[in-house]
Amino acid sequence: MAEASQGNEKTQPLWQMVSLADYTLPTAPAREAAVKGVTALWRLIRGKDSKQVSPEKAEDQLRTFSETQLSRLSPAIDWHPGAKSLEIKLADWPDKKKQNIPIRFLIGPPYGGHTDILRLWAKMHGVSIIEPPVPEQILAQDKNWFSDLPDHDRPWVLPSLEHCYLRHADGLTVVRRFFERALSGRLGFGLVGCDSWAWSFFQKVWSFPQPGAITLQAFDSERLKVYFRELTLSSVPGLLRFRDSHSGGDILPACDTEKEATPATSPFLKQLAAQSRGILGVAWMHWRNSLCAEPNETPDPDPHSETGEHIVPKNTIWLRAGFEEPSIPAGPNQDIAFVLHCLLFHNGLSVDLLAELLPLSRGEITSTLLLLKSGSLVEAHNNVWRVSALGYPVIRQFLKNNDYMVDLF
Amino acid sequence: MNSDRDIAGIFNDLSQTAVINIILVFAGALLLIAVTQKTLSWLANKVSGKYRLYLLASVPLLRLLIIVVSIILIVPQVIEPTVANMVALLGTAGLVLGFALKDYVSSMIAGIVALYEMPYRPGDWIEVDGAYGEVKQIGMRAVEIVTPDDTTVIIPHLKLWDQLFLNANHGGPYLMCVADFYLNPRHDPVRTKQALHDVALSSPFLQMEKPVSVIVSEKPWGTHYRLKAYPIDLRQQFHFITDLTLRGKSALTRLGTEFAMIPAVPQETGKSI
Repeated sequence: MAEASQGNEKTQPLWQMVSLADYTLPTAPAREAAVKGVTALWRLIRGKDSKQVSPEKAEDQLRTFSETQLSRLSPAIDWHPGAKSLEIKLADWPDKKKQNIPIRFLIGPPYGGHTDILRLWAKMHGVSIIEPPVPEQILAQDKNWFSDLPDHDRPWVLPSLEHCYLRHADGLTVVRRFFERALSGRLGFGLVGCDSWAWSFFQKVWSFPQPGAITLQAFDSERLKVYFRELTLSSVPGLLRFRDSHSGGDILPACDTEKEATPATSPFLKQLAAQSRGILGVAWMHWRNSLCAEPNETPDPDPHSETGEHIVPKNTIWLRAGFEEPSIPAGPNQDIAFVLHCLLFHNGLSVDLLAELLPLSRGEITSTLLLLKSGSLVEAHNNVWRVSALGYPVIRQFLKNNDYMVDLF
Repeated sequence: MNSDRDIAGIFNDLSQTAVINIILVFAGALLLIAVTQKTLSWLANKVSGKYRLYLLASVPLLRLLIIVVSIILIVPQVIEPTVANMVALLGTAGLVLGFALKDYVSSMIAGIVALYEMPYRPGDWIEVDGAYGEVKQIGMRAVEIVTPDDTTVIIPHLKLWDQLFLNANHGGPYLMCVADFYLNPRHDPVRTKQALHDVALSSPFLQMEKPVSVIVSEKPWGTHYRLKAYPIDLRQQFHFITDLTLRGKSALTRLGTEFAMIPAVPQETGKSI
């Protein structure tokens, strides 16, 4: 893994699959990094619950959008281009004549879209998708799951290897057997997706060779500029300007012309790329949360809206500078770290499984989760708790500061 | 008499200003030591891992620095700092202290040696004379440790000359913990070893940057397994061992492994005739 040096940005494909060694982490502008360091020190001295510096006055006067408006302005990420880039990367795979590596791994950080990309790739190629075993099968070290794997002649896709193990004394056997069979070629050609945290865990546990492991290149400021411009053009054609509420500078080039009539001057996207660690899902969530408009600006009516809700402001969309980053709440640090680390290692868990894996009672786990939820650090869907996209960067930093193992991204 | 006059002669006539200067330097040094000690200890408790250890280790070094600077500032106020004067003063002071405060001075010198050689630093876990605990403070005369049972033990630096100091982490952030398992010799050792290895991997206390190992030895009463691993935070060592033991016992029970049962041997109660 490398860090991007400032001012050395070349035009690269927007979606690009690269080997793990070629993954380049976007860096923050020097001033931003210095301010962040001083702020962190100040918060350490003042106490962990101290709030961040209040936003600019102008931001108080800005109007936030409704969910409907946000869905229009910033629709959910379409991972199809990611699947296309995977197809390009794997153009000569699988090919028995070339004696390809039997198993290819696609590694991605949380909210990096590796599961979606693999499912789309499998759909494009008509390849069968293997669902992970249920937790009961994992803990029972059930061998029957292997019988569901396709025969050697057909390639297959396992989109989420992180759901094939549990960090439990009985929870490693299934995935260990899977690695033994897959890496020895006994399972034929397979494409395996794995979350970066589970991948780091596997590397520390077995340190198996990883030929053919690839990842989606990080979205640096240039890529984000192209991505958000295309996103906006496709969803709200005719929109004019995106401006930084702090400096007033343009964040994206003018969207209504091919020429960059108003070149981007704001450091917003550089900050966003560094803040989100180049993870598109995290950057998208920050972008979406930063969108706002002036309250007195008359919006154009949305011709597609059945409710007649106004969607599009006439001229300018403002983005709040200084991301609203959640902070780790004051509380039992160890319990918080255990719960967050466990959630990241498994890319989401239920309370029942957390209680099975951690030396904490259900009550302690529930109260910790609720504390973290109140700080927007975790969220629950269908009883499965997961680290939130907005909270992910700060959680990763918190775990790193406390000497917990973190991922490579 | 001549000798007395010579010693007295090396001292300057202390003016009122010189006395005030000495008092100010002395008070300033004490204040600075107290402030740095409190501030750095407080700050160290706000962070964890290696940053905590660095901050704690800087406390005695800063104190030594302040003391040395204070002496450098005070001595010229009291005597003319020539070589002859210094030799005469130190020789006389050494003679007096050597007889009257031998152990105290020896502890202080050992304390200075300890700051240089660093056999223990604040934040280290040391064992001396059966007392095991975390070094909380290194004073001029003694080192203060707090045991896991929250008992403070004061150990004079003097012991450095002739006692064994066992240091579990030696200034580093890693400290090995060992969980012992005593098993009936009739079991599958390969599966048991693998199970115990996985037990360590499953513990959230585990420092994954460090290796996990399982050492097995055969004893007359059974098989002794030693599960060795490192916790993330040194202060979690006892919770870590507890977690390993609980997880290990559960895993071994699920495997069907029996634990060693040493039969009670009836003691001889009757007196020999």
